[in-house]
Amino acid sequence: MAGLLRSPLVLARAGLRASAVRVCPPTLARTFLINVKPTKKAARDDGFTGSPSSPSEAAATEIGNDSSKYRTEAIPPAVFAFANRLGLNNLSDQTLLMRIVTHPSYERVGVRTNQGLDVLGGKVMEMFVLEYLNTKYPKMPVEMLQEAVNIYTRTTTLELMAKEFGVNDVLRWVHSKPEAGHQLSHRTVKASVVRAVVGAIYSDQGLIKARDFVHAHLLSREFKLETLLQIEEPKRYLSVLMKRLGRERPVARLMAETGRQSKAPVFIVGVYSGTEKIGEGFGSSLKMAETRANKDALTKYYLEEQKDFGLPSDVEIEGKVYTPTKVGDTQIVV
Amino acid sequence: MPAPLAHPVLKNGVGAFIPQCRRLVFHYCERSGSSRGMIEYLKKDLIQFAKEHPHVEVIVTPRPSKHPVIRGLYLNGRDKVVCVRNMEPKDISGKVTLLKESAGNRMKVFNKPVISTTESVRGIWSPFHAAPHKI
Repeated sequence: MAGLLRSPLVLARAGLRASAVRVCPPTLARTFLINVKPTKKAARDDGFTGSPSSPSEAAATEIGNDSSKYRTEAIPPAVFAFANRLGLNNLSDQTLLMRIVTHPSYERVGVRTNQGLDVLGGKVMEMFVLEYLNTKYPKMPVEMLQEAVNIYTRTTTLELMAKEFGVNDVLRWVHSKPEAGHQLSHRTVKASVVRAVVGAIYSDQGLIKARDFVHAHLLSREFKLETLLQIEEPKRYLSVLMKRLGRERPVARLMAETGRQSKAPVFIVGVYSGTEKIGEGFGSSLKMAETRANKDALTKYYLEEQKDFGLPSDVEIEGKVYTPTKVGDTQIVV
Repeated sequence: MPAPLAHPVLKNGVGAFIPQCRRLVFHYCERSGSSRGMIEYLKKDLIQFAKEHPHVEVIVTPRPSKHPVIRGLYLNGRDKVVCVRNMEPKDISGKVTLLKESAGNRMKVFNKPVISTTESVRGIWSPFHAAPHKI
């Protein structure tokens, strides 16, 4: 670091400690430090230990004493920034950070990998998504619910989330050898980090904090659930549904029309059960409009939203009273 | 049933807000005059900035015989580069704030007052559902 001492620029070493600032020796070869772990020598010279706060240092020494097999790694600035972006700086055990971003393919002596957290986080994530969707849409058909949970928690979605979290900077993994039978894909590895984050929050901070994370990052995403409802014969299905509900049989009525003899007709058809309109559809032919109306009626029934609901996992919150949520019927059997 | 092609789309800020700036790289030259303000900024204000924004990775590297430059890297993979030659620390601080608060997207002209993916609350007007005009 002789070059730095000669220059008029002298940064306070102590000031660097609690931040993600890294000072580089004045060589052009190291201009961009993308995902470079500081070596032990560099860490000592920089005065940069990488530990973000004193409680974590205490925890780190504890872990160090506990098992000599696993070494305590200095947290690189990229991981520190990643943690702060997601609120992981509140984890009481900061050694989890390096564990989250290390895929099992990154085999090094003394390095913990994210496999355990990955599996745990995956299950936890699925549970919270399922709980939320089931409570919000009690009448949703079972296959549709399963499909919805799958879409929220599958690798494709998690890979996108990983990109939005900035996982690429911090990820530690090793490509498969060319002759390997099964090639490890980048997207699987990225998805594993996202699941590991959830797993880490769950094991470190408890169920409610993990639930908050899943709700904030995953369930706040926009997805139209209506697209998942696929009905082969809407008229027949609606008729069976009304029979099961003990309501009057559905009758389609033309409500408005225009351009019947022209090239572009529009028909508005409403489906009525007695005097109550249960669905409406438009179309360029009477049949098309009627089909749409029947489908609309089924969508309105199956995707009925609950407002102001509590979740079963609310029992974990101290002092919160849990009122059991509505349990819906199963889908009609045709 | 076949899985739809659409995926759940991020709405940043609806649930959690993820700050989009992930890294700021500061280049300066130790000898040239255009870097004087930059060096003063690095000495005075940078550490405070880095402490206040722990989600941004801050890297400082000398770049001899070039003008001082700040490069911001974002989560969408793009970067923004701002040359701060002959600027005072106050102005450099402004540029740093600009880079920090950006999302890394290209500059766009927004012609509409509101851009949203959700439809209107009351529904789009339809001639078949509105009351007919009475004379």
